[in-house]
Amino acid sequence: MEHTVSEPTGTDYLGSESVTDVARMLMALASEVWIMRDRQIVTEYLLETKGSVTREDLDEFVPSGDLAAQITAERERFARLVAGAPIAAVRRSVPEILDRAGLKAPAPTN
Amino acid sequence: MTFLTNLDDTTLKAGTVPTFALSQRGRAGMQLLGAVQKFSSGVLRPIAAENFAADKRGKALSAEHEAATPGGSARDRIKAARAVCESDNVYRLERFIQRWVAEENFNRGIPAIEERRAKFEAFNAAQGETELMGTLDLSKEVSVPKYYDRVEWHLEPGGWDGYDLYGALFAYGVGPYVFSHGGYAAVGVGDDITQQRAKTIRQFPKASYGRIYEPGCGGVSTLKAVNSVFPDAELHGSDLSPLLLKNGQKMASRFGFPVHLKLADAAHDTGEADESFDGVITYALHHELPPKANREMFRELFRIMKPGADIVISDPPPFRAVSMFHAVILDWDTDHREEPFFSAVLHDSLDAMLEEAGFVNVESYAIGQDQYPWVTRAMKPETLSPAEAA
Repeated sequence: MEHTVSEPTGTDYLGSESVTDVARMLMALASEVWIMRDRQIVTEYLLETKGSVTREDLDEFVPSGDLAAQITAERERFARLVAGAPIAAVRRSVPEILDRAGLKAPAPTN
Repeated sequence: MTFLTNLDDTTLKAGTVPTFALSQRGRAGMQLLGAVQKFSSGVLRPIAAENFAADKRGKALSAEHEAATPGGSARDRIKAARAVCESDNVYRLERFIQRWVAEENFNRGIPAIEERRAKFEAFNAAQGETELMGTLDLSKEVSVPKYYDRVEWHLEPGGWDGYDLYGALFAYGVGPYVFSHGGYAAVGVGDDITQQRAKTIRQFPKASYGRIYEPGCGGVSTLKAVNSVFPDAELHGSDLSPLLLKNGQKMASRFGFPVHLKLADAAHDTGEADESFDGVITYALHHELPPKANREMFRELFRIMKPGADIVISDPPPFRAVSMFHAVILDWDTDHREEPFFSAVLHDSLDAMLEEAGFVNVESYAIGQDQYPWVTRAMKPETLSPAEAA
């Protein structure tokens, strides 16, 4: 049976005034995703450099040098993509899209 | 008034216990707050400013704000400008992120430091072996002013003394991972508040000072900067928070400079002798006091300063000194980052308060982007007028 687009999906429990609460939930979730992403980068690094890794290694590790710079770049890209999602709906030029992805726009070709 | 927020271990004195760090989870969570805040203030805020500038009402309000003699009150103008800003989705998103980061500094930061309590206490105990330098006087009974009591400054649960590890949280979490990017309150995006402090101290007009005093010295962030510029000066400070003072003495000792700290309400009674200081510095303090308490404090500081002594102040810029859009941004802190006196002080004039207290050569100017740090400096006259002498 086909549903019409106007058919209600059920009670609107949160209401439009709760959009800020939803944003807080989204940001909390984004934080947890980033913490896992950071841990993944550190895990890969320790496996590559030490050959093995323990939970304690991961908990105690403080990135420095090139690795810290690499994680910073990845974290800033993550922040741009999450917090910049609303403006990505309207700022959609190729340079803007590439910038959010942490990439340089290619030189224009003739 | 702040905790020490930047532990530059390269300046630790020789033999000091190495620093301690948050866990991977704590570190990564705090670092994301810094990254999101940086994006918000560095990318979203300029877009919101462009949108405001392009709005017909925004343009008119900016023109009025920048006029030599603006019509209407500044409060009404800011209120009208806020309504224009709030009609913009990007402004609302940027402000939401600012609020969210301010909340999460503690919602995420407190667990991040608490899970390391045992490690931090072991680290702290090892530091205890470092000989404490200077003096710490917590002996005087100080009644906490009503304006200070029960305020959870900057959304800090329980206020400055609300959690025993706040000092560690700021030194090892909020400071290096969030505040270091700037872009909050009056601090410009990308600005380093440690460098801003040093630059402010260099606004003292003389080449050297004997004794320098700081009311509301907190965790000695500013006295550390004073020591870097005037290494021979004797440093004194006071605060209403015993926790901040204890942390302050410990941190100063780690960095190898003595400080003389005292529990006191500097707006009422510093407990210092008449005409005993060559210089006074205040940093990010006056917006945390109601204007009446600021006036009382300037009278008290005037009393303890020697004739010819200098006072240098860094506080957020007055509304009259910033753009219409930036006035809305600063005004927002009053209601959204637990800064109850922020707008009242920015509407008032520290210059006028200093003159009322008897200071001369009063001047104020910006030394950074977005008019911050905003420096106000003045001098206690070499000789008092007959009325003042009486």
